[in-house]
Amino acid sequence: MVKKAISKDDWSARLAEVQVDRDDLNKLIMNYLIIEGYKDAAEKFSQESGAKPPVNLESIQNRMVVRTAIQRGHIEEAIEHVNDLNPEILDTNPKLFFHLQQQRLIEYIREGRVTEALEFAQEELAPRGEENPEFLSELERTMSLLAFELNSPSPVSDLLTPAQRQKLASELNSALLLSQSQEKDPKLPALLKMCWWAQQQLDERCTYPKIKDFTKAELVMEPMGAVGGSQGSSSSAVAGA
Amino acid sequence: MTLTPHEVAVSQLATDQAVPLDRIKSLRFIKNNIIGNKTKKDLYIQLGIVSRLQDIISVKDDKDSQLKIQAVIVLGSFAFGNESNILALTNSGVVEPLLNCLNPSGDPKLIEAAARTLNAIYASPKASRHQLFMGNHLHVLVQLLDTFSSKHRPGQEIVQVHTAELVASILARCCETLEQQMQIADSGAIPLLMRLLASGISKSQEAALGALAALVKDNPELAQVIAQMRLEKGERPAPFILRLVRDKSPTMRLAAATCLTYLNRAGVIPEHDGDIMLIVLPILVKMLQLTGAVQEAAPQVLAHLIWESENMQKAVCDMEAIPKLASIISQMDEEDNVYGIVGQKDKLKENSLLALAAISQLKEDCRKQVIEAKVLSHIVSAMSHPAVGVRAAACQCTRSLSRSVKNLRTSLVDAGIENPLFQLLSDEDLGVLRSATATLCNIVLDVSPMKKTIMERGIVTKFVRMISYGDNVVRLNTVWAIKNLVFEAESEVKENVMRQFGYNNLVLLLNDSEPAVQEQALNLVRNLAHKREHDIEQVFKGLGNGQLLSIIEEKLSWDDPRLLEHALYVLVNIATGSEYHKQSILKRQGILRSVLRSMNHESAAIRVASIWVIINLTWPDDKVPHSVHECVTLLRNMGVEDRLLALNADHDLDVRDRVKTALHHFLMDQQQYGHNNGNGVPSDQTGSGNGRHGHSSSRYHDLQQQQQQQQDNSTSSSSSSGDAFGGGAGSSMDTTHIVTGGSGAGGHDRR
Repeated sequence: MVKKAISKDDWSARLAEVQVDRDDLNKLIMNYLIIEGYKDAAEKFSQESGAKPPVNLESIQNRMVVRTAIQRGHIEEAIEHVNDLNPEILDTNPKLFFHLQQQRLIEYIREGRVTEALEFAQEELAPRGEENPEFLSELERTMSLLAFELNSPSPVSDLLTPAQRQKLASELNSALLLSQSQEKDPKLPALLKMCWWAQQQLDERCTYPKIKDFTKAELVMEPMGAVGGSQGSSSSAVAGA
Repeated sequence: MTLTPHEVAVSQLATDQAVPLDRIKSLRFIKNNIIGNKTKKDLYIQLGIVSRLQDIISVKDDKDSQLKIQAVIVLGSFAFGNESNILALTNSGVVEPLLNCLNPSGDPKLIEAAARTLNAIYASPKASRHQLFMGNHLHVLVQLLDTFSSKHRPGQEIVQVHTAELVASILARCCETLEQQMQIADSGAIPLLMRLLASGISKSQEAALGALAALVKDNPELAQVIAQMRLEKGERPAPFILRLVRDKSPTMRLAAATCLTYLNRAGVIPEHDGDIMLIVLPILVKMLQLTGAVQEAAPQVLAHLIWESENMQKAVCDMEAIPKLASIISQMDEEDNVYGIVGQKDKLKENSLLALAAISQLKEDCRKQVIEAKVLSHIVSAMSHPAVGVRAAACQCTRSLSRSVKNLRTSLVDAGIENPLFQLLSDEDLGVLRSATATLCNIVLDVSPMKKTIMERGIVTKFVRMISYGDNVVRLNTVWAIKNLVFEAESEVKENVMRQFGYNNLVLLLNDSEPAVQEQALNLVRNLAHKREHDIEQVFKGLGNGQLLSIIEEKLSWDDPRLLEHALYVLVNIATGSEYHKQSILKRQGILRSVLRSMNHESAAIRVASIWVIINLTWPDDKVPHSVHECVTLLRNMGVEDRLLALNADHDLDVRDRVKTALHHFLMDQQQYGHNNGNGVPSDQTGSGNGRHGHSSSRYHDLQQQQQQQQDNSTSSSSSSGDAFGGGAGSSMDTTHIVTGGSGAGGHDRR
């Protein structure tokens, strides 16, 4: 199938015609900062752009504190804070609670406090596994951290990365947002996903300058290889005949 | 022996502690230990924490609100524990002091915390609600719904709104009986709930919807009141809620759909029937594909909405609800196999089964779809589930499916329904028994191969037990089942059944306090005495000659048309018996007078039945012509022939046809014996009377054959018309039971 080809100039011209409201852009950014809990950034952004935050920024202070605690590995402190904000969240979210306890275990192991880790696992995590058998496999994975040297790579060393803490912080943040009946998904990532999907759809029908890296947002022209190759072979076949 | 930190913390709570700050520290320590942690909750309860907490919150002065608040929060966390934790709370009498913490003069944060804790406690159906309705508590509670009250302190708006939401949720959970509903309504809650509904705050609206739904459920009076109210801009609630049912939040959609469902069932929003069908129904079906609490509740609301509605059941079928429900159920079974039955998803399973039962209730097409969805084996295995609600729901399913004749034969048998059903007949739960016995009614119909096997297993002994169970519905269903069992059965089967069941039990049923039970018992006698002289003789022997007819005579003298009809057909069958049987009837003036009177009954069916009695009594029999003559004479002298002649002008065709046959017998007798009847009609064949006589004599034999067949058919078809609806009428008994979601023990009722 011959795909339609759109040149970079053509594409750029069309893009230029699309109107995007500055106001909408600001709202998107504000929405992202608030949901993710970046209070200071949201305040600054509000001052500089004039965009008004839709919620009282003090209310996100609490989520910030929780997020920071998790990112620093102070899980117990985060738990206490959550319980002060809303005592029902952890009672009604067994999975979330398990992940918090699991992170505590990881922190014990990271600090080399093996005995305490084992005691903790026995006293706190084993009962969770009994109550909810679906947590057992994650528990086992965490326990196997103890079998490996801390600084060498292992099949479970992803548990020690900051990304693991970040994952937990986001999970907890979502639960807090939900309990405050605010939306828990920022719109910006959803828009990017939409863009990615739209490009995939368009890929089937034409060649055009596409965004390959969202952080750069550069328009990159698809190499002519694929389409040109097939044309080349067919013309040589014709020539042969 | 050193104390554990937990023991230390509990001891620190003692009231003689000088430093309140230490107590608060201990409370926070305890709180952070037990939240999310079931084992710690158990531990602390063992350490006797509940009474310490109770002491703290029962203190009269208002100084230490922070201390009380923390104590209240800790109590609330126990409410999320297991059943024994909750019982520990309610048995300790901690509810009363909690209710006192709602005092409007107290710290708003304390009020909020108390409301939160009470809400959590009331989430358990086992927590007793009666303290709430005593004294001033309900009034205080309802006033907290008023977020605009001038009594509120400034700066505490958010806390007050949260409190109102929690109070609405409490009301929703404490609204299970009619009395509770009315008491809450009387306390002035409804206008305040309406204001919450129109507040524009999502959580408040959801909470208000929950409370309103609980108030109108199965309560036509309150449903009417609420449907007629006006919101702020003059709009009625229903259209407003119809907008909310399309909200982007699934919990809001569910809350709105539930409210609309109950309003619809109460019949108070007929103008929105179309909207319910076109908007609410598809939204509920789509919820089946979500997860969590919404997915769990949606099938039950759906079942409630479509119950007894053919249109809606068909619509839901077309929306492919059945495959969705089937995949939920089979997926859960897979997980159960992997992890063992943990019990967390029991409610989802129960509700999904209820939805299937509702969808396949009335339409054969829907039942077919259920079978095709290959979910039958899961339904059958759910009949043996440890959770009583699941068992009962599974039984409802089989009951709905068993209404189809084809299914009885193939699918249900193949799926092995017999064993679990038999077990369920000994279940301890009333709801299960009711559904199981109703299913049984249909299973033992003649078309089922299960009839034989279930008898060999000793079903009749179980019947005897269930008769004395003490529940009207169970008793009724049992008699119904026996009736179906002996319908057109072999003499051997009938004798077997009655030998095990006992005629004395039959007599008890014939004199039962419930007319519906009496009706089925009479129907049973009718089926027993049907067809063979031997069978009639068995009934005579079993009940004792005099007793059977005395009973019939008594029933005939009542004014109940159902009893009358069945009693007449018992006579119809007896009159096909031996000479002795016929004579037993003819000897009883009381019976004959009742039959005569019934010939003028306002119901055509009863007139027909009574004429059949006459027809059969006067049936020409070459073996004993003189007896027949005596019979005819007797009846003629009573005025039967005159009555028949008058009925020639009856407006009902069936009646007129029977009259012709009966009169024919009288005429034949006249021709043979040459008696004049009162009308002076000449007795010779070729007389000037209507030419009909000439015709009828030449077709005499055919007519007799035809009539004989009709006679048989009418006795059997009448008893079978009861049977075909055996499930049907049985289900109408149980409708209210199911509609309230009462598929389990009393605690499951009224969710």
